[in-house]
Amino acid sequence: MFGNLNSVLRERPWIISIGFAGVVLALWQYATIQSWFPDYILGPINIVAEFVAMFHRGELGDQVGASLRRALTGFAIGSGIGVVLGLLAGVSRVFRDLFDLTQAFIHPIPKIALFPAIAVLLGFTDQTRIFIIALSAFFPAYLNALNGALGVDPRMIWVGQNAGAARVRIFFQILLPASLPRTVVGLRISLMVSFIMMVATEVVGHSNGLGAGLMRAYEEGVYGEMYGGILAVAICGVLSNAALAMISRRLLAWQAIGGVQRG
Amino acid sequence: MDNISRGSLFLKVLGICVVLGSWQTFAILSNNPLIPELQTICLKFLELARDGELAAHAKSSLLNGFAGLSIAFVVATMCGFLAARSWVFDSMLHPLVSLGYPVPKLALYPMVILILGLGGESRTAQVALECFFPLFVQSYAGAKAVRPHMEWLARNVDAGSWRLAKDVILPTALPFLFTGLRIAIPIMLIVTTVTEFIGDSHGLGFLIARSSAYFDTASAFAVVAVLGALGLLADRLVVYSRDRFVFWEKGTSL
Amino acid sequence: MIELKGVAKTFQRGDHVVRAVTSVDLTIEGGEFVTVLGPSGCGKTTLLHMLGGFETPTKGTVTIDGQVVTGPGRDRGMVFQDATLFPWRTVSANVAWPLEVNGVPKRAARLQSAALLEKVGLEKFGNAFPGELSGGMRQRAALARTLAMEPSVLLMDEPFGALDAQTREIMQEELMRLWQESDLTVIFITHDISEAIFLGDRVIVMGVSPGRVIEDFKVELDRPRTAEARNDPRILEYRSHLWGLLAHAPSSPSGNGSQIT
Repeated sequence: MFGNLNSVLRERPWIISIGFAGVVLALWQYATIQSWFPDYILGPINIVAEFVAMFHRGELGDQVGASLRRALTGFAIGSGIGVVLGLLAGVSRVFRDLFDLTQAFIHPIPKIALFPAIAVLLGFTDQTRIFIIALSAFFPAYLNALNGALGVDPRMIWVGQNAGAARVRIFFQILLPASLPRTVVGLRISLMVSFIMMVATEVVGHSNGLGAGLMRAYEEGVYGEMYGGILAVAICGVLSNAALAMISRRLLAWQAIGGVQRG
Repeated sequence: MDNISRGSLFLKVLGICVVLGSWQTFAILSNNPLIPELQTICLKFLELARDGELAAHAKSSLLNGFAGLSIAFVVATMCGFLAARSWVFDSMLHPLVSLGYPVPKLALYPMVILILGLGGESRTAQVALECFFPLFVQSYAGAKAVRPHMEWLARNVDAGSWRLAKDVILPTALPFLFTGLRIAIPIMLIVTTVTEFIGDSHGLGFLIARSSAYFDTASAFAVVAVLGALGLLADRLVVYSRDRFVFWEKGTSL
Repeated sequence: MIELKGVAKTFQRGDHVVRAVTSVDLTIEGGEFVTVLGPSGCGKTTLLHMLGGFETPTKGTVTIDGQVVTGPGRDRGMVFQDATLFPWRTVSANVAWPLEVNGVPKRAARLQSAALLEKVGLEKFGNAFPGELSGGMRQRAALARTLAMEPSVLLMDEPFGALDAQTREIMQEELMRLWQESDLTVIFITHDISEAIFLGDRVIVMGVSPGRVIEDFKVELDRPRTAEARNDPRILEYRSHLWGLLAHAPSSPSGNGSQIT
């Protein structure tokens, strides 16, 4: 009988996933009702209720709008430049060498460390925040596009040269798609870094947006709003990641067909 | 050295010289004390290094950062192995990881401070929280990469589960674990720095924030450079140990 | 007419110099089918790359109809061992690509591509992606793509090397048929003795360390050739002669012996 149950669950592992999550959430809720935790820890139901209330008051919409605009603008600028320069460095040795040392020195710096100094120069403005986000998003995109381009079978390029294709055509019609699987990996890392930077640049200095909102809620002791903000950040992160994953699956549909082409 | 590698070295040096040169020119032309010239940054670095302040803050940052990284590494490796080997554990952890991975865990920092206070413990906990996910993903992938034939071989010689873990799973997963570390170290530096901005006056992040608040950008840039050097050093260390420990896979990129 | 005069190619590998090809002189008439036979490391692929203009000789010149080869061109179509189709384009879009590069409008290019696919027996697979095809079908598609450039010379680098024995023979016969219907010059690289004999008017035998031509051998099987030709008694003679050549190839004093596997 237990063997039967075992095989039923094995085919439907989501029952365990949902069941386990449900048990944890229920225990958490029960513990807060019984006041086992300090009162600054809210139960999951209360958090969702706070979130909905904030949403109805309209404050969440403004915060999400400000934050997402920063994160996505920074991501688009940083990763866009990163991909183009990375692919160029992948095909041109001169280009690659010129960037090599500069890249090696700037890459390991946690870009957020530049934020206070640059903010002193340019002010705690949106531009400063977007600049820092873009700078952080640049490197994963650059490095992965570079490695993607370096990994392209040179004979693919030869096929293009054989057909007499111009350099621009070879770049866009061969190099770009051939290095896309690796480039997309870089873009996904860049997006995640952009969201970390979004929160990081908002919790420091006077700002608006989700990060600033939840930091203010913490300082003023309005814990409900703090949790609502955390939930909103989480939802933004999950949704944007899912959107990018969907786009890349579309772009790379050919890769899934018949497995990886070998011959 | 042949012509090609000499030319390549020349270009590499030229590249960095152009960047540093433009900074210097810009600093001189702008005549703005907030945009420091290179030698000012060097002098500030020496000043900070001489009075021991730099070393003290660096020590605090590194202690908290590496403590968090180590906790995350141990927990993530164990969870990754368990999830890879047991489908029940896998399905329990799956929602947490797939939903938690793309979320900036930094948003949880206020909650962490509420529980652990504004000190080093919160910073360590926050680093561990953020580093757990990439490390888990790599450890899981590594344990999944064990080839069935190798496992059958181990069963064939009646190897116990401890031996299986130590002699088959760990070596297979080792390159993945190093990749995880290479991803986690930059994240560790980011989280340490941000949490020090709002922390209790310890660490390199605090030093940057304080210098900037006094409009001493030269000191801030000097500390930024130190952070970069520490990051580079840690990364080289991981690459070096990978080459030593995973000697059978030499030359493959991470 | 293709002419190689004193062609040599050396590579720098770290500290030492590798002599891939040393001083090859060769003349190939228009419309000829020439196979180049040799063990791995004899420089046959390098030789083909120089003909294609993808690599430049360190010494000597390659000329085609009196013109010195300086780079790749549509007159010399290359077919690689693995088909190197673009996996992100459908088969018919792959074949249409060289036409689009040449400025043929999309619709016309697709029509021509359909005709070419019919020629290689892939008319039903135009909408498939390369990942969905078998190895033999991928080589057919690659051949169609190369023919779309309307080359006068076909350069083939062990195109059937990765196929199973049966598919390989079918592909050889198809290639034979295609060539006999055209006025193409074909230079075909292989390490398979039977393949070299069955396909070629001439077999150029190359040896290792350093890579060089050791014999220019004439195959006197009847043309047009079909599957029947495989039973010709002369093939056995040719085989044992070529086998002997490859097995006892003298290595030059500087070489480290012949390594035939």
